[in-house]
Amino acid sequence: MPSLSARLSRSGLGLFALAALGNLGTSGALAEPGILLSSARPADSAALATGEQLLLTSRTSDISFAGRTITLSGFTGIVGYANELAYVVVIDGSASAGEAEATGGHLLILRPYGAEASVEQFDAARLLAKWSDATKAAAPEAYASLEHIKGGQDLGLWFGRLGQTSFNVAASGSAREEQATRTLMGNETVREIRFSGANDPKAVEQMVATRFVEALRKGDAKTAAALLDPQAFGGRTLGGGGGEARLMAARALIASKNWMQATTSEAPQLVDGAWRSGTASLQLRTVDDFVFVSRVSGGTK
Amino acid sequence: MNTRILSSRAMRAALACSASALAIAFCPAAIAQETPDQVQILRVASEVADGKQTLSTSSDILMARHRAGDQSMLVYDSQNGVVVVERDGQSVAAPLSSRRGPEVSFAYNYTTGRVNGDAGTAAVFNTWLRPLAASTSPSSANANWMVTTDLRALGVFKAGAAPLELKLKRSSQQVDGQPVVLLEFDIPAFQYHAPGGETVIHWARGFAVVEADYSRIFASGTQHRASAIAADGAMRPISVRNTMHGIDTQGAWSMHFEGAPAIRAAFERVADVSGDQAHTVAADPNAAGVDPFPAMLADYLDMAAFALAEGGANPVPLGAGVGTSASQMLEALGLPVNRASTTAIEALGLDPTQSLDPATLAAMRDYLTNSVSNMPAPPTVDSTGSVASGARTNATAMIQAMGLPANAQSLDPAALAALRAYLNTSPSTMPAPPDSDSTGSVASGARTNATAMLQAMGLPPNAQSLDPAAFAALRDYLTNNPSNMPAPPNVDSTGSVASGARVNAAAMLEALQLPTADASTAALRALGVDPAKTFDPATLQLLREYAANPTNMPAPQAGDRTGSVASGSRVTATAMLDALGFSSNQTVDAAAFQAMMVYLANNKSTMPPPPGNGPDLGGKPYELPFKVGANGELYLEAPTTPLTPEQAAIREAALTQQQQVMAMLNDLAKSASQATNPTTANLSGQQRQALLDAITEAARQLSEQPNYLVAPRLQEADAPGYTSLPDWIRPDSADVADYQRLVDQMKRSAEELRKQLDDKSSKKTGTGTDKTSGLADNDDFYTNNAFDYSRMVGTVPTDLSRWAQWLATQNVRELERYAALAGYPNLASALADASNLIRQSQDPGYRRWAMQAPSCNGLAGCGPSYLERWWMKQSVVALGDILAESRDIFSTGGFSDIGISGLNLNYLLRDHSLEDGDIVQVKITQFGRTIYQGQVNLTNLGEVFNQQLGRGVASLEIFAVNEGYSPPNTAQVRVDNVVRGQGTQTYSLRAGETATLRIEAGAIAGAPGGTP
Repeated sequence: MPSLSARLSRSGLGLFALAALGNLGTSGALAEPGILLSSARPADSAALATGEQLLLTSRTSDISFAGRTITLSGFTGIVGYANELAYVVVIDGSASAGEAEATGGHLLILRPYGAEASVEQFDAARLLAKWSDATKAAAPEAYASLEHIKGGQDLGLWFGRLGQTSFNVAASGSAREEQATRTLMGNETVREIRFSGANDPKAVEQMVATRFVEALRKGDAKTAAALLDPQAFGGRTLGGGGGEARLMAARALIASKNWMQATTSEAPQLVDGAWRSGTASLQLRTVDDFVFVSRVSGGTK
Repeated sequence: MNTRILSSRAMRAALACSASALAIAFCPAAIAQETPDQVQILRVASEVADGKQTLSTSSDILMARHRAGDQSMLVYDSQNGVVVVERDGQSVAAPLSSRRGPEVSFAYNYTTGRVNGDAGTAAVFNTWLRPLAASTSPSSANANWMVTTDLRALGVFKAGAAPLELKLKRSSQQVDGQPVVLLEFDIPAFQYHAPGGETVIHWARGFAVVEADYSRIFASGTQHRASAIAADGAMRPISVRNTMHGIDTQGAWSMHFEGAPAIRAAFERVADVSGDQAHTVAADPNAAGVDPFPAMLADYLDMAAFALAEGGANPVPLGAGVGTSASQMLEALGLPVNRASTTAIEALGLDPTQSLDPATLAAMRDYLTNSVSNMPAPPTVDSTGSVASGARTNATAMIQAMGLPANAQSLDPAALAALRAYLNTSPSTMPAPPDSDSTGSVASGARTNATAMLQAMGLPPNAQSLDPAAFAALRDYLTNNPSNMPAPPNVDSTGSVASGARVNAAAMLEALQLPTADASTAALRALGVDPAKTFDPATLQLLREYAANPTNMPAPQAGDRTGSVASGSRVTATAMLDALGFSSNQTVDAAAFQAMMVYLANNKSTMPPPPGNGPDLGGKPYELPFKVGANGELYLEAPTTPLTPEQAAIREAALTQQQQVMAMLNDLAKSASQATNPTTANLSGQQRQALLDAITEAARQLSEQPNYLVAPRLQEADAPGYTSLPDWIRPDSADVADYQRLVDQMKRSAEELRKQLDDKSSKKTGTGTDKTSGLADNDDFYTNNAFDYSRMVGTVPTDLSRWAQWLATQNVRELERYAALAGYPNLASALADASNLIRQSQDPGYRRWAMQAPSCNGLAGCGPSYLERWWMKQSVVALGDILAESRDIFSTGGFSDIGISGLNLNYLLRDHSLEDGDIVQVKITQFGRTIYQGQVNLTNLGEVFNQQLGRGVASLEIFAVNEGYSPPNTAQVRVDNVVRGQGTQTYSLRAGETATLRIEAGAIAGAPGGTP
């Protein structure tokens, strides 16, 4: 699969699709109420899951999203996470992240590991098709604005100044890939680290090791499981019960040692290729663009 | 007969077994029916990835079933297969040979609901699965339920406490109008500790489509994943996939599921568990072996889950077949595969090699069948009987003699364990026994009475209850001769047996494994066993060992009429009999049970050696017992019964003789081919060729002799002492006729299948689509890499006539010279090997090497041998270059050109004689483009391929991956719609060589070929 930047650069003046997929996982770090695009159900933005798209209307504020501060001005639009990236779709008003500013008809693409945000046009027609009737009724002005954007894009398409791309921001690999790996890469813990802004691989590894050790010490099996190497649990899809097995393994791991004694509250340090905390040692393995804990040793019961 | 191997294979065949009681419940047609003999072919495959290596097997099974009245019988015959081992980035493929006759059989009684046959399978089913299913399975045909249980309740004890859930589903479906039953299971992740110490998280799903009365299987598939976490934190991914599906005579699926959405959905749910390929890590030569337990457990769970899904009344559960398809691979690797048998027998504390002894089982079966009805009923309490060693006593008297209360109710296990420990650690100082006993008697040769014994041991004779140490000391004294007993401890002369528990006579005798009634004497006599032997020390030692192994003991069952006891561990007559494959309702008599134990113990010394089937299950690593074939290749062979020394000597002599003859022929051929040989120097080229041809023909005729030893072992059906009757069938029973009829029917069916295959060479066969399951877009789930291999055998033609057209355009004299210099005996041989000559000549490295003049420096200088080798290499290149210009128009390796009508190439690759495990790569090219490539391994039944060609010349290349264990690699190719040339051809290759069949698509009959 080509890198995201390669795919983005290849897209040229294309209109980016925003076809949403199903919902899984949870998310935090966003403190704006809105409605889910697919159902118009009110949603707590702090629990926005990867794959969900939250419609915000008439906002002028700074919000924290995908590890960044996004400045909204008269903003009506959609925010959401995909496995690989996050995005802010602007229907009305503007949204800016650092140097990048998106206005109506454009979207901010927020990439992980502190990469610069970019601005692209989105495909209004395809986005319109995702609106449920309930959402249309709940946010008629936003829908009307989107239709207006669509009208302009139609003209551009007719004149050949715009072209549709097959790149779907909400599923930047493929729908199947997005869905298959959402349990793994769309997990809240993984997402927080990826969008933390850290771009030094060592720093990312240390964050993973730190979160993992914290989870062991707290007995937080859910977080520990999210950071366990999926390879031993059926691979990246974690399908067919693999996700549950991973959680069970995390519980077994937590129960196997006295981690409060085995580890320290200090951040783990890299020693001889392994991350060490107290007498515990973590080995990490890269899966896609992230690292997971593949081996935990040390400690006593 | 290697019972472990056979029984595991039987389990794979177990799907086509008799209908279950459940089926009877909702399928009236299944009741008391007489069904014609059915023969079915199943293709089974297994893939086990354990984190270190991936082991794959595939093979076909012939299966025959008959039902009459309330009994059905299943007979099973494994066909050949293949094993592929991937490890350290390398793969080794090897054949699995099966030239046995029918290997395993079962009978199922619809009235009793019990299985007879393979001891291990029957025991597992009868002991664990059927009772559990009876208490958990809904009675309706369509049901969705969950069983919350524990591995121990399924009969698996080595993993300790391991609660798990089995989500089960059973539904009636229709496939092309045919009613079938869809069974599904889902085992969410559960945790256990493998015997090797790893913590394992294990999860699985499976599905099966079977006939409405459970008598046939159409498809099944199970997928397990597990993560084994070692003490050092390493996580080992494990994947176990077992599949089975019925096939027709063309190798196509016997049922297609395109129009069965529920079945497709079930399949997809199972396939979803597959996940990514389980990664492997480089093997550390110093590392401990991989614990195979999780993979073993996967097979076992398949059996258990399907048994429960069926309702548990199916005699040999579906899962037994599915789940143990992996067994074939493990068998090939020399591992014990019959975990069912092993588990059950071990759970009972028995030596599996004893219990699998046919003679023993037959004796017990006879006893149980013929004598049990005459056995006296066991006494309610042991107040009247007496037994033992010619000397009689009764329990009460004995207890009284020892001053023990006769009405004690139980025996404390902990106390006995403590006693045993005591005895084991201080055996040396017991006083000598008295010379005689005055009241009772016991003990092997040494006699005494209870009081005397107690006195001898320093115990007060008026003890009211049995002190643990005294009890144990007494037992040891009784059994192990009194000469070296330790001094008794000065303990407990008055109190109870320990921990407040008491013992009565019956319990005590049970604990001692002593018979409690006349029944036992009768039993022993019925078994032809001298009752006096029953108290010999060795026997009792075995019994003690049995009693001392409490961890794997099954819990007693509600239906036990004999009760249970013994030393903390408990066992029941029912469980024992189940383990032995008997009906427990025959054996209400405790004494009979005891007698069997005694019989087993006393006859141990005369037991045949245990089956040579590898090590035990207990956490030992996989081993790869590859053998080295005649050509240095590796191959695997299913373990077999060792030959007797006499058989081995005969075989060795025959092999030696055979090898001598072949060596002599080879020497003659070499001499004849060398113009410098004085013996043949005066021969003309034609005479030399004639001589070579004669030698080659002599070798061919020799190799085609029926008694030519083609494999490193005798065909077992021909081996002295071979018996085709399974152990569990009594020679004088009615089962013999049923069994033999089924076997004959199966043989006839096999012959018919082969005939149909032969006939197919002149008929159009099914399309590639027909070969698929319809379960998914592709059948990867059902085709592990073992299925990429096929095997073939054949012969080599050497005449030049097939190349006549081309040779007419060539400088034949030059070609002959090149051929001779290149080391070929004649031009025909060189042309037959054209593909390899071309390959070598086009290899840049070989060319460089060949064209480089030899160094003439040094001590040796440029002697004749140097120059000869150089010329040879140069000739290979020169000849290859010439042939390369005609690459696509050359048939080689024994093939001759053919033309087919139309553009559809339909051909069959098959063994036309012995299957010796040859593996080939097949490549079809046309117009410089490869249009098909794959590795195949065919059975005798062969496999049909279909390929669309463009009009013009194409080549079918067969590359010999190996030579099997009967070099060279030879086989037969049959092509449909041949209008020119021979439709049926054979080839013969050495490993690494290629044969090419030139095919002209769209040819016209009689027209010349497109060759120059």
